[in-house]
Amino acid sequence: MYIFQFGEVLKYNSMLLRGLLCTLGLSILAMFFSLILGTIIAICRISKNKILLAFAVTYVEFLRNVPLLIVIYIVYYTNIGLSSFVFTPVVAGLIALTLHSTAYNAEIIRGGLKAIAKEQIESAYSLGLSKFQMFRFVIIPYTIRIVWTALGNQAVDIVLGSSVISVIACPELTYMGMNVAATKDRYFEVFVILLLIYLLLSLSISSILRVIKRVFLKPSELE
Amino acid sequence: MTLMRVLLLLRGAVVSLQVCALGITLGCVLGFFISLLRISKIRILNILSLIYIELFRDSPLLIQLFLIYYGLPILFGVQTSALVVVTITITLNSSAYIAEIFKSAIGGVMTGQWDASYSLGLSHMQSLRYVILPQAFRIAVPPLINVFVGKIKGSSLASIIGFVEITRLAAMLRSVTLTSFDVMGVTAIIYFVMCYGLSKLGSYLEKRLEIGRGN
Repeated sequence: MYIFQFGEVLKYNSMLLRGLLCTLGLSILAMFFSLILGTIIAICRISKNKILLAFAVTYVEFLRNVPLLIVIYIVYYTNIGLSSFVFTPVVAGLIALTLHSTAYNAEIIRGGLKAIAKEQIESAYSLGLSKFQMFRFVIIPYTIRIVWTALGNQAVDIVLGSSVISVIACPELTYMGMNVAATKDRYFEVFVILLLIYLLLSLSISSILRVIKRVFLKPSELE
Repeated sequence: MTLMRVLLLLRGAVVSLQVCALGITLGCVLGFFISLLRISKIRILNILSLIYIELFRDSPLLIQLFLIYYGLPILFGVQTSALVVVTITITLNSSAYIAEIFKSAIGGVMTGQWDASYSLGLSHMQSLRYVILPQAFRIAVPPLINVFVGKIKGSSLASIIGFVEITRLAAMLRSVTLTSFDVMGVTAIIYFVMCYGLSKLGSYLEKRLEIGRGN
């Protein structure tokens, strides 16, 4: 008969908390960088320049169809021709996570940019708005509103995906949990706790983002 | 990379495809019943199925895999192979996604179809069985293929618990040959071909079925 000992595991709450902070930090940074890179790729994807377009399509299609684990292995184990230069697990994990979610974000943002009606841009011009004003007051607010929910799902995906970085010994939540589990030989209890933490994390992220959308982003007829 | 090694990776890719196909097939059966609970009029079944779906969709696949890997011997006293653990994980995880797909596919069939079958004197279950579900399955095919693609990528995590599929073979080859870039590069290309091909098939079917639907 197996006796569950969650208390034994919870004694290591400071380790789990440190892991949680690392997970959150990595996820926020990865989301930040992949939003910037994703926007650039999305603009390449709708540009008329054939080379930029081909690059963007190749990037998006390749990264979306390769598992995150493989991206992590490639980034971590490939020391770009410099034998003395190796990424630390945290940096490799961040890069892999960013590259991975850039592809998804680019597709979401491209969809948002394409959803803005031509008439809207034309009417913005006819009102005498400059190009900058048009971006500031018409394109960006509408695009944010359109892509908000999808990007929110992507943010949750990043948090959940960051658990995979544990395989290269990056000290995030899953890896810390594994350490605790190995110390106490309490694998099942640890993974139950980790499951609950990740659940709580993803549910709170999506509800916070939903509240922000309802309060700050004005409704539009585009949806 | 010698030809032998590429062939070895391809063999691993076949294993990945097989375990995903098995898991998704079982996941379809399970997901179908969960979707019926999800649209049922009994509130408690509704809530339970929603909890099940959120549990699997809002937690990392890796954690689910570990929980089943360590949980099976503890909770049920069974020592099983990695294959069984991976199959169960893919089945449970995909069933959550598939239940949502079936639910919206059933909702996607026009309400006029329900009215029409009622007016022909069919009962609720008969309408579901003979009128709604045949149409819902057609709507569900493209998103089901997307789930399949997602699980092929997700099955790479099975390598972590020691299931020998393409990623595991790649990791083994890497440690034997110490040439990570070509091994992982070829692995990435194999994954790309599998997943990209399948998603292209999905969007092709989506177009075909859209034309056939006519509503």
